[in-house]
Formats: sequence, C-alpha cells, structure tokens
Amino acid sequence: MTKTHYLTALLLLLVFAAGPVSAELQLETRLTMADVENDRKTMVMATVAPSPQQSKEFWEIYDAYREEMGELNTRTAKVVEEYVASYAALNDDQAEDMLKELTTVEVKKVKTRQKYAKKLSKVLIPKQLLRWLQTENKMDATIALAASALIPLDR
Amino acid sequence: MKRMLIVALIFALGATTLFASEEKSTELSLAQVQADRKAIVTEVVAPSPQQEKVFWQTYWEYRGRISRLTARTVELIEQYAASYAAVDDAKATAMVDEILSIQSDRMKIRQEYVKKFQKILVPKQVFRWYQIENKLDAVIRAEMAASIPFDR
Repeated sequence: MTKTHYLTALLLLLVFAAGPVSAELQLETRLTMADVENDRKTMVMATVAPSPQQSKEFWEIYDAYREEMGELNTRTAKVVEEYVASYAALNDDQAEDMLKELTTVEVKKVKTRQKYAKKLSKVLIPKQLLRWLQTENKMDATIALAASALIPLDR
Repeated sequence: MKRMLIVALIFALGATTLFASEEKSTELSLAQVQADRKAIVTEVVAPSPQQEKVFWQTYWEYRGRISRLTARTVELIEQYAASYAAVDDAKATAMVDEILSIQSDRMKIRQEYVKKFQKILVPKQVFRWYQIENKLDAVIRAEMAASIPFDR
C-alpha cells in the first residue's frame, strides 16, 4: 500500500467516523491539510521536472496560481467554519448566502485552473502540463477529503 | 440508525481502500458510495412528503449526469496510468483538454441543479444537499485520485 493509499484510508475514517465536529477534529483536519500543502511543491517538482530553462518561468506562474487558489480555498474554509458553527440553528438567509459564496468560489476555481493551464502550456511541453494537472488534481482531492471531515452528517 | 449506516460505510470504504487492488478499489468504493448515497442524503436533506417525489426524480437525474462525468474521469485515469511513461504530445494535449472539460462540465451541471433544487427545497435544505454532495464526492474523488501515478 502506497503512502497516498494509507493517507486516503485514514482520511476516510476521519470523514465518516466523526460525530459532532470537535475542536480536536478541526485541528486534526487543519494539520492534515497543511501537511498535504507542504508536500505539494515537492510533488509538482518531482512529476513535472521543469528543465533549468523552464524553471524560473514555471515557478513564477505556479506560485501565482497557488496564491490565487489559496485565496479561494480560504473563502471555502470560511464558509465551512461558519456552517459548522451555525449548523443546528442555520437559517434560510444564512444558507442562501453561504451557498452563493460556495458556488461562486467553485466557478472561480475552475476558471483559475483553466487560465493557468493556458499560461503553463506556453512554458511546458504537453506531457509536463498533463503531469502538473494530474498532480494538482491528486493533491486537491486529498485536501478536499480532509476538509470534508468537517461537514456534519447530522441534521 | 444513522451512526450504524456511517460505521458500515467506513468499514466498506476502509476495507476496499486498504486491501483491494487499486483499480478494484476504485470500482468497489464508487459502487458502495452510490449504494449508500440515498440513505445519507435522506438523513441530511430530509425532504418532506410533499417534496419527496420531485426531489428524488431531480436528484437521480443529477446523479446520472454526474456519473457520466465520473466514468469519463475513470477512463482518463486508466489511460493516464497505462501510458504514463510513454505518452506522446498529441495524447497528452487531448488528455489535458478532457480533464479541463470534465471539470468545467461538472461545475455547470452543479449550477444547473442548484437552480432546480431551489425550486423544490427551502434554502437550508439546498445548502445541506450541496454540502453532503461535496462530502460524498470528496470520497469518490480521493479514491480515484489514489490511482493517479506520481513517479516520472
């Protein structure tokens, strides 16, 4: 079993084993997410392997991409935190506002990824671009799984 | 009841992730999440008897469309894993286009169905539906992503 499989299995237990969202679970989730984020650049470097000629421009674009995505992820995390805090007493106005924010962020994430794929296609060869995109997808899926542990299952 | 369901799901998902082969694990877990989906969504959204019929009709229509995207994603990951070391530029470009197209289609379908559910459910229920879909989809996406190779 690879490290990624092991992490996924652990996260699955966290996601569904959780009862009410405790402070410990929130902390555990944040640490897991931070851990995956810390690994992200190393993973991208290993899979994309930009040449010395590509390196400067690639990392400039990549860092700008991660900054934009980071801002969007912060907005999502804020909504999830608000949801967890107001879960039992959630009213329709709050629900509408939070849904609007989440759907707006989702659209922006898709557009941001498209925008940066286009930018990176001018720096990388197609095989590298594909590897970058798949690596980002893999890391994003792990982060989303960790974050989803915070979404309550109760009514 | 709800806790038992959740615990059953943990073991089902956990067991396949831990012990099955990568490809089998993806298929089995996808099937299990799909099988338990209705019970989980019922618990969280709790459609009223008046909402129930139209809600489930719309819901399965939505799931049908999302499932077609999931099938495209699985196909793509299998292709990627099979040709990882030897993918040529034309194939890589086609795969990049397909990944971006799937992500864009998913976003559009979700937007379309948010609007549909807003006509059936109260805002609190729509939001809960949206969040529980995110949670269940995160499990499926993580299962599929586990099959994406990392090495060069």
